Formats: sequence, structure tokens, C-alpha cells
Amino acid sequence: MTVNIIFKIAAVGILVSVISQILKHSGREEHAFLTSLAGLILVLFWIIPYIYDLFETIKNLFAL
Amino acid sequence: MFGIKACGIILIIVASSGIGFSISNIMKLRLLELAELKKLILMLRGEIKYIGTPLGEAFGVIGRRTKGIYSTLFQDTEKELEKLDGKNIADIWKEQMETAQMIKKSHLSDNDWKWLLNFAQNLGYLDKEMQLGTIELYMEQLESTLAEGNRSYGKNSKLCKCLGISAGLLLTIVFL
Repeated sequence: MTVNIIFKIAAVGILVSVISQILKHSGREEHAFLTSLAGLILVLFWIIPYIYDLFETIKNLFAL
Repeated sequence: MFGIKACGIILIIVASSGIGFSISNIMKLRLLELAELKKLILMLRGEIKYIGTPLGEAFGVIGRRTKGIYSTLFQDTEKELEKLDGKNIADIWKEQMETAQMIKKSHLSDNDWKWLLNFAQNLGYLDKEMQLGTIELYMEQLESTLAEGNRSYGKNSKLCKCLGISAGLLLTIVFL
């Protein structure tokens, strides 16, 4: 796992929150919510392989 | 490798910001075109009300006094009306709007076009008073559209620009 992914997630978080705030201020709450959701899904897609690896490691560690 | 990446990043950010700015510009141009249309309709009202010019001739006068996208529409409508071939003004206006290539050049929204089309539907009906009434009605519609447009322009323009830049940055991070 490279450290790059942490920076990428942080950048996406910052940008999504900025976009969300802009949309909220212009009275588009639904779009703001959808943007946040899209950001969350995007980040989830990035970290799913690492979560899978974590579970595999735990399984191997305890010989499940 | 780094050079290509940097070029890609710059291109994505510039392109998405450009889209945001161009959408904002389209909104501005629409308002300018609506204001121009309002001015022309005011002139048309003046021609009919104070000079008593017939509708076709009034169209010609107004067409010649403007240089924008409406000039061809008004002048061609006058020419068609002068042919006296039994067509009513609504049909001529509709034909001219479609053939004048205005739709491609203009930045008006579909709703604006519908209102402009509806304007001519009752224009040639009955007498001078009816024509003036139709013009007044369209003027009110134009004024409310302009007021609404001006109100939302400031907000939406900033929004489009900010979203364009942010979307570019987000895309860069996703593709990095």
C-alpha cells in the first residue's frame, strides 16, 4: 500500500466538501448530497481491495 | 513520463474550467439577447401605437434598425408579408424562425423560443388594439424572464465557474 492513496483520498475529501458547500450555498441540497455520495463511492472503490487484503490477512493469521 | 502527465493535468483542468466559463458566458449572452429583444418589441410597440405603421412595415423598420440576430428575422418576415400570398403571420414567423438559422446562432432557451413563437400567434389577429395587447403581454413576459434571469445569473455564473474548476481538479486526482 503506497502512501499516495492517502493523499488522493484526502484531496478527494477536500474537493468534494468544497463542491458540496458551493452547491449548498446555491440552494441545490440534492446535488450536494449526490456529490458527497459519489465521492464516498469513489473512495470506497479505491479502498475495497485493501479491506479485502486486511480480511485475508486476519483469516490467515488466525488460521480461519 | 512526468511531462506527459503534467500536460494531461493542465489540459483536463483548462478544459473543465473552460466548460464552466463558457456555460456562464452562454447565460450572460442569453440575457443580452433577451434585453435586445425587449428593446425591439418596445420599438415595434412604438411603431404601431404612435406612428400607426402596418405590422409588416413595422417589422421591416425594426429589422433595419438592428444588427443582431433578430435583424434577418424581422426583415425576412416583412418580405414574406409583402408577398400577400394568403399565409398568416404566425406561419410566416414560424417559418422564418426556422429558416433564419437563428436557432443555431442564438443562446435563447427553448422556453424563450416558445414564447417568441407564441407572440406571433395572436399578433396578426383582429385590430391594432389586439396587436398592442399582444405586444404588451409579451413585454410583461419578457420583463419577468429578464428579472428572473438577472436574479439567477450572479448565483449560477459563480457556481458554474467554481464547479468547472473543481471538477477539473477532481478528475485529475481520480486519473492520477
